[in-house]
Amino acid sequence: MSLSALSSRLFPTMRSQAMARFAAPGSSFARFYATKKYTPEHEWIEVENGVATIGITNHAQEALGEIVYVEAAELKDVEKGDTIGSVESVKAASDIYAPISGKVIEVNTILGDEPGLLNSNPEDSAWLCKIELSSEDEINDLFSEADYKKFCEESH
Amino acid sequence: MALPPIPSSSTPRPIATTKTISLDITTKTCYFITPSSIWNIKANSRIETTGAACPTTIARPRLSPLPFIYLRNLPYERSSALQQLLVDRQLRLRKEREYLRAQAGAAGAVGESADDSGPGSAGVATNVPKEDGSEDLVLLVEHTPTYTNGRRNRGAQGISDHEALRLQNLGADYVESLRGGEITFHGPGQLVAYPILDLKPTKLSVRCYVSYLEKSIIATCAEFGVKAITTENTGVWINDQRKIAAIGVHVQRYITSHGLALNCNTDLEFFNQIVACGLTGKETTSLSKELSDPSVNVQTVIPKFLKGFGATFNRDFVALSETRPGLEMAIQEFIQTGNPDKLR
Repeated sequence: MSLSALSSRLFPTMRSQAMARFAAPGSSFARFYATKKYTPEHEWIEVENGVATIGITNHAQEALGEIVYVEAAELKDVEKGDTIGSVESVKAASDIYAPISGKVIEVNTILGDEPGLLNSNPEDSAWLCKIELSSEDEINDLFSEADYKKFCEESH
Repeated sequence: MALPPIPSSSTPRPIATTKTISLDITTKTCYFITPSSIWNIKANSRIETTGAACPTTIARPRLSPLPFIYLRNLPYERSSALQQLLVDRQLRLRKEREYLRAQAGAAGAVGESADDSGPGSAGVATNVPKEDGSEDLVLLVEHTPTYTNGRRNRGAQGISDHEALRLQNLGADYVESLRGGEITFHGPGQLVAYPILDLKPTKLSVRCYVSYLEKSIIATCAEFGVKAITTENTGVWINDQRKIAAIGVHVQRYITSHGLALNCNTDLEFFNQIVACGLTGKETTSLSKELSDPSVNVQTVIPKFLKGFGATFNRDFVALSETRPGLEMAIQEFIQTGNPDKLR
């Protein structure tokens, strides 16, 4: 008897769950490799193939107000917690911090001309910068989406 | 370092919970259903479209009394350096408190929640300091004549060397800063307030904090019978044309620095030399100009400012020399000598 036939007899539900996961809307194979995490400083970070894309969350852009200027990160090595640029709104410049360590390899140049994009699209096209990770382990300490939502609710 | 005694909280006041429901729901709905390609917030006016209305009062419980210190003839660069030392100090102390809390949480009884004010639970937990802004303070400063510029106008984006020289020849320094905002002037006759506050216990967003600063200034002007307003441009105005107070803030992990500048009897000629705050066609005014009374100086305004700020932020002011004489001495020493050791 083949292994799959044996396992499907012994563990019928697991196989159907596995099938459902592949078929479920919104879930693609790529999701297993790109994970989106969050920080207590209201930044999001999406890692794919050792490169992290970083931005601020919708919660953050709401708290800041209308964003008028984005100071881009410098292209250099950063430690977790180093300042990587800032975001300015209503005459307040708020520092952004690196959620992980690595090297800043790219900044989103659209934000130079259209800082307002950070208000309308904080969690996709208005990403701030990309960092090449020095260690994948640091991501594990960050919030999952569910943990982040809970964190936001608890601080209000 | 021992923390100051935490004052007992007064009778709780109800938290204002009303929001502008219609505006809130409308904008949130628009955000979610409109495809990003046609969503175009090219707002020139500063409208509150990106979030809820600010709370009308700071949430309970009441925060600890706020120490202030008045520093005259303070060069701008030294005050910026001082503020950064104070911010770093606050961040360090906050980290220590979080560590203590985590320790107490691990060692304490089952089922306790760290921020509860109950006297029970484990002995260790009662020693953990609460987050009530007890390390906050406000610097009240009169600067030597200085033109300052905001973060986005530094270095290559800044003013030309020729322009900087021109301003220096007027008898003022020119300094670049890490605050938000554009070019402005600070000098004698102008009350500059630098609240170094932890925003976390206040639960104020950056946007709402700036709005509260504006409200504090409006309350101060009201004490003199001057009716001030806010407009689409950040700051405090008499009308659409005349600006009486400027704002420029820096926020680092929820700790604020820099702040506001209210013209009491400042020499307004200095403002004529620049396009203040990057706004062409606007004028700068002062309390003494609005009241036609040159005796309205910084010393006259300070008590009214403390009253207005205290009412808006719902805190009592105390002199730093009374509650934290050690910290006050460390600050004075840094200002005189530039030696930061006692503040580290």
